[in-house]
Amino acid sequence: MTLRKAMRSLWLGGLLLLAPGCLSGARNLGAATTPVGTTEVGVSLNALAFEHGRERAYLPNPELTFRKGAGENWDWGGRLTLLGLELGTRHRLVERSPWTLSLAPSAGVWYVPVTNNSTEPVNLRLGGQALVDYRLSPAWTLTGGASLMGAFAGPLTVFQGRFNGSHLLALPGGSLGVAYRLGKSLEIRAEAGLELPLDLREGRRQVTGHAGLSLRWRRANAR
Amino acid sequence: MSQSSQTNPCRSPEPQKAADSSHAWKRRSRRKGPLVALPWAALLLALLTGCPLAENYTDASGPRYSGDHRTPGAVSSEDPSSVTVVTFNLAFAEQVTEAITALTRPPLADADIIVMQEMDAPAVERIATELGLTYVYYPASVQVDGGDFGNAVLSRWPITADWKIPLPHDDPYRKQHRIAVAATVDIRGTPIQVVSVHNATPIVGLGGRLDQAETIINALDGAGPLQIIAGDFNTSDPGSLNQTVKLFSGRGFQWASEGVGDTVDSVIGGLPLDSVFTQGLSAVERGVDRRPAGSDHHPVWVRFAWPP
Repeated sequence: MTLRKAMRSLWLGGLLLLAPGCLSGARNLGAATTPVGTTEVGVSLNALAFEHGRERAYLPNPELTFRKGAGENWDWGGRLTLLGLELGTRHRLVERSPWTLSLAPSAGVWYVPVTNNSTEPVNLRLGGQALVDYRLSPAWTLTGGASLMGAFAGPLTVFQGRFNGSHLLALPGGSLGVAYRLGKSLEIRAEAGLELPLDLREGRRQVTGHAGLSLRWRRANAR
Repeated sequence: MSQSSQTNPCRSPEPQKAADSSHAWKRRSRRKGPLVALPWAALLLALLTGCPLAENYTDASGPRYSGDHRTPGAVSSEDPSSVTVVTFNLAFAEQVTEAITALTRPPLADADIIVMQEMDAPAVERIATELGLTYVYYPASVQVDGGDFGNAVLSRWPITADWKIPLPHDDPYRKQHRIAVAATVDIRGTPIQVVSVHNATPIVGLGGRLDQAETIINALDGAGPLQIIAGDFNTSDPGSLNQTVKLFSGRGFQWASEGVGDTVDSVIGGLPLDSVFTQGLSAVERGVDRRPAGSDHHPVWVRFAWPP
């Protein structure tokens, strides 16, 4: 491999790791909250479909996730990309076997070096997701999700009080996932979802989506 | 000068000292984690937001520079058999002598129309003087070093009209504004609309750069049957050249520089940033002059059959 090819690969690899976090609506969550005294860590790899220029493009998006049990019916956690972080809580509202219903509000911030149609260097997301689990068996769980996020995307000059070029978006979305418990402390989850971005100034944008796998490992907290 | 007596905050401490103090440091940092992280976060934010805002020329009609250095009889009194167009981004107009050398040797020598980007007024004036051309130049903004940054159209044939086309989507870091420069070049009574383009870099998304290209196409709508839109479209990111060509094709333009290949050498390899799009003209020959020309961009040239 020549130096030029190596540099090109590095550039493309960097772009793949840096760029797409703010485009991802993937949370790879079920409705069941993490028990108190335990922590879950996971790794997700999603394919993202998004509007690039005037066409649709696809990028892989690796993420690290974690959840920590905080109370009888709630936990907190988030997902981490190379230049972004989303944190949120998850509250179990209804538990009637085999159903579980939860609400998961979250807030995220991403720095992205390049802009896209409705993303800018500074990206904020705030909103919530309703999650419904249906346990098919002790090992298999189906999860449906409905979300409504608000997003702000602005140039770096927002820190200097200059907001021109900013976007405000509403992002209703939905997701469907299936989880399989591989062992007492290990779960694999497949999830696909869509978001319908509505730029409050420019109107509807192309549908974005994600599909991917997430592997999550649970352990008791150290005393 | 004694190096050892100096303290360099960017250098790591010596290994032994580091080992001795590592446990204490860990204890301190555990205790003071947020106190340490906050100043670093503030410093990072300060660095990210420390870019000075660009000084843009927001006047819709200027500033404007022009000059005519053609010598009487420089062009034949008969119709030319072809018209050669060159587009060249001269990288902050720093190496003008090298550019003039490149523009005076084949295949660029005797080009009928030259569109240039990243220029300042003295550089355009000098090139026009040495090559015997008429020109029009509009700066879009001021560079960090204080020099102007804009686009020019130079021609062996008379320029009968010119105007500045402001482009949407300033860059998200410094709010640097981009423009295109349009000129009507009259070749023995036949007008050609010529535009020198310099779109934003890929830190402005592809959607924004396509909007810029579309703004230029719209500005020429109905201006005449012969049109040349040429310059640095900054089509380096995946899919951007393809979508730019599709946009022009959809609006009735031919990609006259199709197949010339990469026009810039960069650390990440060759990039196809510069293009020529035309309406009403037939390209008969095209290429990139890859010899050193004083820029990271290579001049792109297209020879058109004449009369059209």
